[in-house]
Amino acid sequence: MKKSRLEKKENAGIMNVLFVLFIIYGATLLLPLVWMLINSFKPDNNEFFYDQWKFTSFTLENYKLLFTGENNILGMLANTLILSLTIPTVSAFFSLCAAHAVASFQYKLRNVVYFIFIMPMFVSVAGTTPYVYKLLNDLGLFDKHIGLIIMSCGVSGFGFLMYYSVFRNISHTYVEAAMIDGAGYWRTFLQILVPQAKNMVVAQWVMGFIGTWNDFSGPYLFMPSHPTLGVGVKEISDKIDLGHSYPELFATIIIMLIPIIILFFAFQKKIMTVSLGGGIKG
Amino acid sequence: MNSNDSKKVKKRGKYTKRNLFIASLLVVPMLHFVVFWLYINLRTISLAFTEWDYFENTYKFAGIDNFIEQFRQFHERPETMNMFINSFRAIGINLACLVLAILIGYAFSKHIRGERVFRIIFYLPSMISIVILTLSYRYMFAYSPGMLQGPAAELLRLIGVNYNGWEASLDDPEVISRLWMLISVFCVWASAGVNIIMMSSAMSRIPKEVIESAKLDGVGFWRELFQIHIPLIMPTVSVFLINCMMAVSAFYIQPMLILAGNTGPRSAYSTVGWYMFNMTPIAQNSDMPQISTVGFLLTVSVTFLVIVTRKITDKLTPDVDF
Repeated sequence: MKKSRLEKKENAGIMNVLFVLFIIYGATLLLPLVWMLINSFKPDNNEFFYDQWKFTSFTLENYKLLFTGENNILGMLANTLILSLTIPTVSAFFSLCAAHAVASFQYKLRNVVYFIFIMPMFVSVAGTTPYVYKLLNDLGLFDKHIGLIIMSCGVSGFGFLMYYSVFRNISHTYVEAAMIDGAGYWRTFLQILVPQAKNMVVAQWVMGFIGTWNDFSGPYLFMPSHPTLGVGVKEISDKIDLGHSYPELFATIIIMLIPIIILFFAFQKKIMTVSLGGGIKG
Repeated sequence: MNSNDSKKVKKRGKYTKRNLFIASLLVVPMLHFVVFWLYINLRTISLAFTEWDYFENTYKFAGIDNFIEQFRQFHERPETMNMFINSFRAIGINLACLVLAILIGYAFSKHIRGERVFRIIFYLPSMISIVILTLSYRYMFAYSPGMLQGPAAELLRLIGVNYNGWEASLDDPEVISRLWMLISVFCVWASAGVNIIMMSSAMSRIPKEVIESAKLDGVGFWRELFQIHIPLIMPTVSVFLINCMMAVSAFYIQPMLILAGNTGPRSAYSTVGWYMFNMTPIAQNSDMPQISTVGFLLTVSVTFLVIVTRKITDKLTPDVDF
């Protein structure tokens, strides 16, 4: 304790400078969101242009319009929900299946299968999207929710590795006991093994939900007639000069943010432990 | 049938059942891999070596003609190289992200005041849609008098920068470099969270004794960072760097959304990823060979960079276990 206090004193100068810089950086991250929140309650563009940083007037009209107006966002909300609920679910299920098949059994091609599932993490070929688009068209999956869902019926490399290490560490006697009691392979898998990976599954699922909820390129390219909230926000903002109101756009953004903020604070610790892939935010 | 035989049959029955189960677990993930990874990738690569035959309506082998044509274009119209150059800006941006993440992660490992709150706030952008982040950034830097005047734009003008907002004359080389600067700042600004977590969790794995013994030897704040922390987190840095090389081909959404279509067909702002995104809905069969050629060239350069990065980081990583 004494030591750490001494240490703190030693670096006090640098740490104070960093502390101030951190506050400034944190403020730049939060202020735009606060700005959007405040202005989502302004009645119209005039009020908004007049004073963008003050709570001069308050109305819930924008939010009401989003749900009842002519250009309501209910359709987008439904599209976003359909994708965000199914995509992480199928992805988790098939990643679990693959991890079980590789981790719990011995057979000749086991190592090959393992290699196949982690390879996409290390090899990426540029310029495949136009061909994916063509393929979806040929398969009749273009512009349908099911197309994007089928595209996620594969193994997510990182989830696969996590489930794999969980299943590897489960004692065999546990599984054998269940089998002797008459449980079949599927029952043993779903009722004994999957619950062991529950924490990982929840963390991956929440990350998957948030990722899908926020996705722009996927639905924009492959589901153009069924816009999600991300695509919708982009389209409204593109048309903003043609008479759309800023406060209404901000209200849409706030609606899109609410579930994410709730999930983030509910699962904050879990989310932070599974987010290990770095790089530019995209 | 004696008892030994029936045992064998039983055992074989058990094995078939087991194998059937394994097969049922793998059938969908394997099919997915074969269609959406193997087939797509092989098809894309092979198309780079074909050309579209309008008379027969098929692709026909063309050797390396597409590549010769591509390099001829690079030579005759140098602006066609812009999208490649711009894609590689992602590496510079990633390096800036890395420096920031190491510094912030180091301060976290020293338990800076308010560490837990900062951790959450800095992580927040990672959870928010890129569409929303780029929009809020655009508005903060917007400069259209009488309408939107973002605080960041006003700050820039206050300190004497001749800043005219996103809609400035986009062909001016000075504007081009300034807008790229703004895009890079956005990427660093919005990407700190995950990278900080990555670096600070690597730092938390450094054994306490190492740090304490350095303390006893009187190692200062910066020296500790450069001579102890950074060398000992090199394996994590190496993973980060390899990821960031691979991210080059996927670099498009940030410039695309920040510039929000203001650029028109200008190549000064394009990246390979952006070009792919634009071509996706409109590409005809006859466009595919050229698209694949561009993709192939980028894939080859990225693979080369990954190998070089690997070699360099391996050299820089001290041979220690902990």
